[in-house]
Amino acid sequence: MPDLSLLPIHELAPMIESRDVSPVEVTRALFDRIDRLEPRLRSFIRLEPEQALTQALAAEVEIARGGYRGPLHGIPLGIKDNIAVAGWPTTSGSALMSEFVTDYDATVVQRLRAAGATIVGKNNMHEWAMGGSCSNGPFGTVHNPWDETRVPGGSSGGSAAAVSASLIYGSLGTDGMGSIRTPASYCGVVGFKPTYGLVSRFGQLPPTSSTSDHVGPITKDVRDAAILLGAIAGYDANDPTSIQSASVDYHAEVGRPLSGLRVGVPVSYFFENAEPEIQALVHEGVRQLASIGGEVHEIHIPWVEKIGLVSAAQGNESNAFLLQYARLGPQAFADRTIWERVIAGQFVRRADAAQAGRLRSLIRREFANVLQEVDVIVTPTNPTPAFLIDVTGDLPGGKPGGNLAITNALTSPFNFTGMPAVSVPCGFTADGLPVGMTISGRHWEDALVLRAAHQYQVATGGYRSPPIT
Amino acid sequence: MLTDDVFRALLVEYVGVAFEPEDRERLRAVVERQQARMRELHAIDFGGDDPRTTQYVEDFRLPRYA
Repeated sequence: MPDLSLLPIHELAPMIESRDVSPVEVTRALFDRIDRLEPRLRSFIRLEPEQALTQALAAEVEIARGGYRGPLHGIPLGIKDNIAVAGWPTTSGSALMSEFVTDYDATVVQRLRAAGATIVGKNNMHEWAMGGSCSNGPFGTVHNPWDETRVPGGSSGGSAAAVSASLIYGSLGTDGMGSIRTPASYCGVVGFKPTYGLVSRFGQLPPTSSTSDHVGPITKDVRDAAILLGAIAGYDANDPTSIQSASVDYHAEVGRPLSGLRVGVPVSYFFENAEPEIQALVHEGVRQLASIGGEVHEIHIPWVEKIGLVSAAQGNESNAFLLQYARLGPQAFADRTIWERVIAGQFVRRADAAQAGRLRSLIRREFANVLQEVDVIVTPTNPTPAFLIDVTGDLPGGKPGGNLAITNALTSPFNFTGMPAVSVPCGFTADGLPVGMTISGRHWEDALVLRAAHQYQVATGGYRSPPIT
Repeated sequence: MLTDDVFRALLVEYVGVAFEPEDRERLRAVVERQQARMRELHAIDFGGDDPRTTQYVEDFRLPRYA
């Protein structure tokens, strides 16, 4: 019998369906692992072993009676702590929200429960989902399982660290500027940001970047991401940004063969802002895609170089909610830079936001034009690998911006355009740190983006467990 | 450049709180950087008044690949 905790969902699920393995056994094994490793990783804000075992037992009984629901039945998952789970606090990583409890589940949680998943707890995160380190928050500093002196990325860092260390089989994160894909990249797992409007955000608290925020899965590999996406995607009348779309069997779609895929590689911005080691690994990933039938094309997206100005002018969406707390002063925030950004956001004028909207539209049009010539676009997920805890850096080449620029510079374009984008591991630095490669594509072609990433993983290998024991 | 007096008055107007002088001093640098970024944004030449470059509201859920 293999170590069950290290398996991806798509390998474990058939064992549960055939009753060779019981959900209770799986959940107990995970909690043994959590007991051993979680004190070092701090990847959860809340764990509920008794409730998880109750859910697992219910799944076991239902499956024994012939009621197997599908590949998430009896699978233990985590939920980022800015997504509501009924009866549990939803803190958004802030001490101010430590007592905030909803009596309802977020739509995505409801859908995971309907698929039979076991919710084991709430994952730690960067305060207010407004940073990329998950360090020094009120619920502890999250550590990267590949190197515990380094950050897991953020803001969904607890989710990625826990999945990477096999404390859970998957987690839901949120991604307003890169908060799913950056931690997935830093922790050597898969993070998928779906098309804007595909996955409901009802129950995501608070809506700090509503026009660019997304809910999506963090998993060990791409097939597992497709399984989770299949469970949570679809229209939700409770989310005003949700949109009707065709029902897609994402898990079946990723397995379909791929030929003649036109792969676009930007000639500017993305690669030149990444460290040479990262550039080389992602270019090698492009060569791998070519070796499995992809046609590689150079593409030009010149306006994307200005994407940081869109963030600067539209980053104050959070003020609708956070200004009330910012008035209390910097001591109300564990991460003082969030307080500073909220106050600075009060100095952004309507005309600034409109001008940024104009720029955002141009960037979106450039991507749309390019995506008439190619099917997917491949870019580095981040400029650097995971950085050291409590160290502030800048972009390669001395370009300023601090850790926020390091974690968001190459991911945020896909938030502001709303395109689907997946970060898939593409190798390791000389220091043994994971590196992520992003594959993005046309709106509503989430299945094609995942299929390209899956075929890449079939060619290069899937989940690798970090050296944490 | 914002003087402390001006910045203090603006904070009271826009935020409702003047904050401690030490905090205000650090904030002032952040706000000045923010204002420089906004000047950079408004200095962009989008290509004149062509309506194709003046749109600033879009439904980001909808594809545009026709």
